[in-house]
Amino acid sequence: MKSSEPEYSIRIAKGCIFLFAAGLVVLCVGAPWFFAAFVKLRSPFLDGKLPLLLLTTYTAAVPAACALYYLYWLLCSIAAKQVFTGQNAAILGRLSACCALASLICLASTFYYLSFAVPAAAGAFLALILYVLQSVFRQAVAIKNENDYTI
Amino acid sequence: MPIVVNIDVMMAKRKMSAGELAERIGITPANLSILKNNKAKAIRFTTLEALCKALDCKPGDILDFEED
Repeated sequence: MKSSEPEYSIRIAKGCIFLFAAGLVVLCVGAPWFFAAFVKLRSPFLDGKLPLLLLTTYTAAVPAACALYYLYWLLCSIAAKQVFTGQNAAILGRLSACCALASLICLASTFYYLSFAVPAAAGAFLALILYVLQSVFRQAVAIKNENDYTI
Repeated sequence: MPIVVNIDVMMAKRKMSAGELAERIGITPANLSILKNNKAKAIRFTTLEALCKALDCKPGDILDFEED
């Protein structure tokens, strides 16, 4: 039972990735209607800002989709027992870059809607965590290589 | 790597093949090849002890130091 726990958690994580991907697709497809209703709700504060909200959504969807793809790629590597590899360290770096990019898009969007500051700060923090994790993984790869070549 | 592992000479003296030596000291032929080709980054004392016992030699007979 113990040996199947990591496989179970990897399957759960992959399921969550698919759920998030489905959510992202639904958001991108339904954004015009969703944000039109949101603008009506927050009128007159957000009047005329629908195109900007859509621009933010569609530009942030690109790094979000890339992040989901990299996460899935990382999980597949871990499932194949290839955990501490240079490739996985590079994937973590790319994940960090995706979060940083999404954060920058949200930060730029604060010019018309201040509430984007929250996802901007969260994205920046996540980017920092992933960057540190990348450094940890690189060290782990070096230690593993040293261990693999210890006879 | 300045530390050089010279197993080939002792293997030839004892007329032992790589496969036989690997089996005697309990490592895979691939790992023995890593040792012989000086790609190893470290060697465990237990492995060194097993090598010396199998080849009937001292560590100094199979380890050498060559400045880069």
